[in-house]
Amino acid sequence: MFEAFLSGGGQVFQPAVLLAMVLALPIGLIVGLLPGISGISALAFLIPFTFGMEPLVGLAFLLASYTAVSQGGSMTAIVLGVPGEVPNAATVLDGYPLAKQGRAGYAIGAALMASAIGGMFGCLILMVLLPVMQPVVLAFASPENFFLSLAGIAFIGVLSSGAAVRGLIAGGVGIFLSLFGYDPTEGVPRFWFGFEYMLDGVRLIPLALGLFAIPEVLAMMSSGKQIAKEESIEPISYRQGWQGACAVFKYWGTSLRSSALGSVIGVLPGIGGVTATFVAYALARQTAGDPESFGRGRIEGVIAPEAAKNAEEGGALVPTLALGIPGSSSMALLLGGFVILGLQPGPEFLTKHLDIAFALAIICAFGNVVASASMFMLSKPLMHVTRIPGRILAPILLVLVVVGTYSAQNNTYDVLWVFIFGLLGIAMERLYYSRAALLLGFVLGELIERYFYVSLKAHGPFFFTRPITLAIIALVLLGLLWPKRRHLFRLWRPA
Amino acid sequence: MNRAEIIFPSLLFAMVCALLTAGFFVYNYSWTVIGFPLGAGAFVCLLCLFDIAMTLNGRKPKPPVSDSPLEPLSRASVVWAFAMVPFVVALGFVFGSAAYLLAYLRANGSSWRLSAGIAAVSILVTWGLFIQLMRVPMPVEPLWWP
Amino acid sequence: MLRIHRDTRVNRRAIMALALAAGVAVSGQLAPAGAQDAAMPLKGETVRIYVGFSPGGGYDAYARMLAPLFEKKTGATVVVENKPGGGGLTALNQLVRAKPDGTHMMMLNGEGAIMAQLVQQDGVAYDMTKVNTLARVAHEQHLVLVNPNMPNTLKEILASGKKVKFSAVGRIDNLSDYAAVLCESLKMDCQIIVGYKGSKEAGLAVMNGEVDALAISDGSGNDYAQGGKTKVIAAIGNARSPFKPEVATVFEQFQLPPERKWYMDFRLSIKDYGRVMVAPPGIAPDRLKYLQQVWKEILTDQAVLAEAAKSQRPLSYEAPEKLNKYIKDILESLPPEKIKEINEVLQKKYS
Repeated sequence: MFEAFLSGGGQVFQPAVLLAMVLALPIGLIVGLLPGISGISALAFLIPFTFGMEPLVGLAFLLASYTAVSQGGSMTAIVLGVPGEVPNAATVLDGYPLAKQGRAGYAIGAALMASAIGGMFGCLILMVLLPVMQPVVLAFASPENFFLSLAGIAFIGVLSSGAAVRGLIAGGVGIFLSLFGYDPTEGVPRFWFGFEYMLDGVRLIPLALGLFAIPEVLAMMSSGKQIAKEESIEPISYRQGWQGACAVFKYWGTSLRSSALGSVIGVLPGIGGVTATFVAYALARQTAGDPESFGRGRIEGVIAPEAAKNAEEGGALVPTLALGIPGSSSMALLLGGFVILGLQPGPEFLTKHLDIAFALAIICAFGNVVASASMFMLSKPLMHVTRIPGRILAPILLVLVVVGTYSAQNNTYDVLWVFIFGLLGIAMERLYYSRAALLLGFVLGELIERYFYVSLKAHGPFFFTRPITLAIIALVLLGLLWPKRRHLFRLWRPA
Repeated sequence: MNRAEIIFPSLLFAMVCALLTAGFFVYNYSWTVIGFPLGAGAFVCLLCLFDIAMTLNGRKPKPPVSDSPLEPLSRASVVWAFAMVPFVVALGFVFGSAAYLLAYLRANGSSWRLSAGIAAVSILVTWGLFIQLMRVPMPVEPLWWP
Repeated sequence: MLRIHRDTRVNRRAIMALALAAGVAVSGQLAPAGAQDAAMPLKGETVRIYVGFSPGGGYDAYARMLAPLFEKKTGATVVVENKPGGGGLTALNQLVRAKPDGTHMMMLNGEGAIMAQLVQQDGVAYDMTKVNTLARVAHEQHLVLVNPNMPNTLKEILASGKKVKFSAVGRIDNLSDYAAVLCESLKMDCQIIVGYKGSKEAGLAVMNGEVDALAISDGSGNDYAQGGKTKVIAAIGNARSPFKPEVATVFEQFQLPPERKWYMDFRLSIKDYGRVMVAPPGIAPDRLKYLQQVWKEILTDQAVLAEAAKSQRPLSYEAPEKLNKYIKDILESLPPEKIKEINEVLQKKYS
């Protein structure tokens, strides 16, 4: 196996592979910065360019661009309050307040370093565990996925400090909205009222952009002012970014915990990046002191989701390579890329091409670090964005949102819905209903229903009594009750 | 503010109930089909009632970012933001966006040079980057064109 | 030929520039413009091929593979438009409303479209009997996969009398309907568990033992069977699958009486329709003929077939006349009671 590792490493450090990565990074970064264009769209756009490339070169190109796109999405979350992809919505919670305080550089530096650390962690886990991961991946079936998704939902209440009832309402509305469209068991489209567009229910991109981008655009148009508030202006420099990067090591507990959580969730094919980032955020909030200050610019609130997200993508390579089952939707596309390049991930792949698997893990880790470093150099111009007057930035952002939304599914109605959900977003922001909670409920609601019915049919009504399932329930309860542990302990003791 | 805090959950309540009623009585969804929506909807409705009750009792939720309160929105900004839609419908994605940028920037105090420059860049981005480079099949012609 | 779309366009521009120069030089000998246009009526036009799924999937890959070939043959500019939604059928709804002049086509999941119309699914706004079929691009054989702990043959499974759990995504998704007709024909005690997110998740469910079996296309089935994670125990079809030639078909394993065999034959005749290139109803006859001829030439070209096979996208052409006959047999000749019975078997019986 060590020879495979060396061979893999040797294959990575070839001129063609390195060149592919270098080319892919700026493309990925630019695409990632455009709102509405997710990592998956970017991958889909880039796959045709890999036709005719050598397998490893093509894969290096795709993987590197993908890591770069993720970084770009985090940047818009911090600088503009608009999540580049749905998992980035957790970064908005504390990243955007920091930008408003004039400390965007601090958040960016922390986010980039956390991404690099998390990504490397995930890829390292991949390397170490790849040969033995199969039984672990296969141990998680629908009941486990059900409770993991439920765990994501359970943390919704945690997200909305001080307004728990409204946070839960938002989450509930999110779940309700996710159930529009085809139901998973009978294929009956719910609440479509004869409108073809509604056969597939509410769409994610218009919802996410409408909820987050439109209120920000409106706020900027109203005040005409820049994002960073005048009162707390620090000079723009790389110093802030550097401080942010160091913060990741200062809060090493949060960084490690989030990376581990992200990797584990990434390895499980049924659960996606959203759960990883939000649960990591919620966990950071539960374990840090002064949880009430989260949502106002706590740097751990940026470190946790960023580390988790990139670790999750590294972890997602495990089931993709070990079983040919994509660990995330972006991995599904990557799998398509594999096939086009003539490789077939799966058990045979690991036996025959273990060196390529290691090479991919190295590319993954390397790509994360290089993408973060490149983005770091962009942090100064990004900070400048927070100083552009709102009356100039707002219409530009609006145009990007409209065009980006259309590009997601080539559907003009999506653009209309951005504005409708924009109204919802405005109301929610002003009345303190957590938009992140709605988004989380929306992403997980559909999964919960699927896994519930499948678990019920495949395992019967006592599907929750499986050992791993019980362990998950126990861990979730522990996580939720952790801040109150002393209180509960006192209640439990008789004296 | 107080009125809106009652209207919003009431609207949510009404919409959820309306949808569930339609689903059950008009479209005759079976129990498996309506099960989860019913559960989620009931949860939302109950909490909305609770929220309204709390508001009426005078309990205010703690805002998450108390050090920078949200400024009220100006009517002009709302009109401008949603004005994007008629621009895009009338002139298409490429030229509609450019025209919108030009109009907004000029109306809000930017010079002709800056406004025209940004509008020109927007054409480059929408047409050059999205349509030509990224092959997004975005229509250049107006949306009302058959 | 299978280079990326962009490269082909760049090359085409260069070639056209040269051609123009050459054309000016020999303009005296060129045929009159009218005759040129008649030979290539779509020259210079923009042709759209709709794909009902997001980029990166199988249908998208086929469309992008064939687009440059169509461009070369007709001189048109081809744009592949992804219009995901409704399980691929929203795009078909839009296609039948498009202008019927040959500039709009669709890379269609023909089996799904027929099935959806047959069971009168919500949201079907097309009529396959009126849609113009241009050519069959490919069709997939299906295999039966089981968990390694299951018996090795269907006969043993039937003999054990155990209820067999199948995984599937939706009610008519090429997984559940194959499973349903299999169970109906073999009189097997089955439960088809619908609701998995995709066919890969359905495959994973077989691997981890959550379900016992899966009826899936041979390409995917072969992948899942690697390393012994699942076993392939039968091919559903009249011939063995090229991916697994050592696996016997259901018909080889069982001698079925006609009334039980009917369900398998019924599903297999839909399979023979397969993945097709279609156009809206109402195209002028000569334009239709032209399109069908172009596709025939593309899909029967040996070089194209070889390249396609190499990139794991095998082509298998079938002429539109035969395909129209399949549609007629399936959608027009069945009496309503039979359709009701089919609905019952496909949607309710094994849930």
